[in-house]
Amino acid sequence: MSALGILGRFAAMLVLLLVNGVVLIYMLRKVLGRLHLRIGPNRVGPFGLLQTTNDVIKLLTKEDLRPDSADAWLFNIAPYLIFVPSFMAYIPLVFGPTLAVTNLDTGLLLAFALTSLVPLGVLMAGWSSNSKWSLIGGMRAAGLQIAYEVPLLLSALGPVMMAGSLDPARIVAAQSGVWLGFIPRWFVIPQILAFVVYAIASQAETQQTPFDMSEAESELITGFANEYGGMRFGFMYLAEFSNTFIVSAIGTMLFFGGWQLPWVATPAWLAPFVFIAKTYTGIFVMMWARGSLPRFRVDQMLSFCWKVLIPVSLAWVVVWACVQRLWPVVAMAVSR
Amino acid sequence: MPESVAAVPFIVLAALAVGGAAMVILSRNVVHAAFWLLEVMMAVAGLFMLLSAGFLALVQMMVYAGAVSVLVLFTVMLTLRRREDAERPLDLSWSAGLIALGVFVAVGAAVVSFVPPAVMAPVRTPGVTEFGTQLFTQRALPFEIASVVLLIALVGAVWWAGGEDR
Amino acid sequence: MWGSGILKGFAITMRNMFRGPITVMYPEQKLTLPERARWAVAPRYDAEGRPKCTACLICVNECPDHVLNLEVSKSEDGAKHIDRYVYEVGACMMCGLCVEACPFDAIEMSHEYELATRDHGDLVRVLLRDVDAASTRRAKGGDDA
Repeated sequence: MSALGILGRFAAMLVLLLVNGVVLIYMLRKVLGRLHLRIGPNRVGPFGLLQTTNDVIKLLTKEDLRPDSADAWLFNIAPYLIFVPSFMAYIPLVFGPTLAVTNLDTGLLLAFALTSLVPLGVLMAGWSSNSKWSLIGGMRAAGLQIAYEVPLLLSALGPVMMAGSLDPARIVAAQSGVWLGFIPRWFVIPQILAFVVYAIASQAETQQTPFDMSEAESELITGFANEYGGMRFGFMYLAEFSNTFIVSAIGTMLFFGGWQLPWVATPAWLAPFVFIAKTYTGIFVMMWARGSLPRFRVDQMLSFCWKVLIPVSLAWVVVWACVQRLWPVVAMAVSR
Repeated sequence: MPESVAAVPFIVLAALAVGGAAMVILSRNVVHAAFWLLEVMMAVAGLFMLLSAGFLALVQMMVYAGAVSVLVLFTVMLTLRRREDAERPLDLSWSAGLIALGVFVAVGAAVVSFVPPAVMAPVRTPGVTEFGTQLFTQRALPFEIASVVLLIALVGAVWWAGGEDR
Repeated sequence: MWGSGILKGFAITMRNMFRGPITVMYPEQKLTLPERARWAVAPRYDAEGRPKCTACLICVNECPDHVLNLEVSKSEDGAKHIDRYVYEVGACMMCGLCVEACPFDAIEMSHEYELATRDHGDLVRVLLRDVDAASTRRAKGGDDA
């Protein structure tokens, strides 16, 4: 790949991330508004469409403040440490049969490795701000993300076993066609338990509302991002929305057939649109949960993860491995 | 697989790794040291990547950078009662110097007497599939032993943390 | 069933989604207030347009926030004259105790809810200025009017 090609791909990722951030913020406000019987943004531009653009301009032009007693180096690095992994996590996404940043046979692992770096930036931001609320938020976020990474990875193992690959493109390709003539071969149907675990864990991993103690507004204002302003805060905010997009996109690839339409063959030009539509449906469900559920307590969340989610997903991995191993034997015995 | 790795990225990554390791020891602030440790781990992941060991690089990133250093930071931050406690004084006593010297001599001797084994580089970089097959067939016993050791450590930690009513 | 409450919550919010907003675009659209809504205190007038206030000061004494004040002077024949009836709307909590206490039904909780002002001074209102207080007999029986 030429240097120009690499640059072009990075530029495309960046554009996707930025556009996605602007769209998601507007969507979040509107969806939450409608769920709460409100209108949502409605003043700036038609239907309030320009509201987020205005917010971006505000963030860009705001003064960049740093608390006097903050740890200067770490305080300045932290937003990038949060932003860069979430930006890099666009690399393994597969938008179509030929449309992806690059083909990696460990793409799924890359995505999870990158999301596992986010708590570090959060801890850094929380500690360096030299504020109690930031530190509490950072510690909560880190504790939570360590815990929920485990079920997230374990729940991804089911589809990986079915496809026999860590390559997102091959996982998606394995989901083409139908079972029994009419059920689309989406992994969500046999893996419904894994999908539920994945949905819960990804909601926690992106720190969205039922699990948002790290930035619990009523207790910690914005948690680890408390002392940040201007574009530094913008980076953190953008990374949050970009992470939402990424976990939804990975969920689409693992459980809902990625860019493929059910039943019919997908033309190459339609594939990215199908993928984006599926991903946004996933994001909508996440926002729906966000607008419906109250926040858990920290201890409830952690014990739920360690005592329910992890045993369930571990048991599911074992069960599914046995099923997949024994299925051909049973099928052969039955046919004989 | 190339005969030798590209010089410039290797020098940069090696400098980052060694320099970061030095900073872990030299920085007085415990939290800074922990973040330098993170930097070292990322640099090592980069070195793995340079050696076409993509899987190892990702595992290094996920396990060491993503989990171990978070745990280190977590414990450091939980055990600091005040922020000022993060700054540790430099211990210049004789005993500390002796220990450091001993470690230096031991490591130095090991490095000097080290003879790299002659390993034939494979023609093609093995992928994840080959790696997994190797791990679960030919190397199954070491793999299982490692997992049992980790399991014992896990159970021990839980038992230890169990408190009075265990 | 465990978890059914969560699903119920999801169903409720989804129903809300299709119900449409209950809020309105405020300055362009306004909702009609319920009959008993309590907003700024306003004086009441009788059929001839004279204030029904008798300057008895019960409302002033009753007000828990001390936002009402009556400046009263007496003329030679002993009739009361209201110089100013001052109302600090900015400190009023719209509790309605003054209206409940008024024996002559001379003030009411109006439906005026757009109370924001550009000037701090505008938050102090003079409800009545330089008028004769209604006599108690007239206010009650209305025979000498």
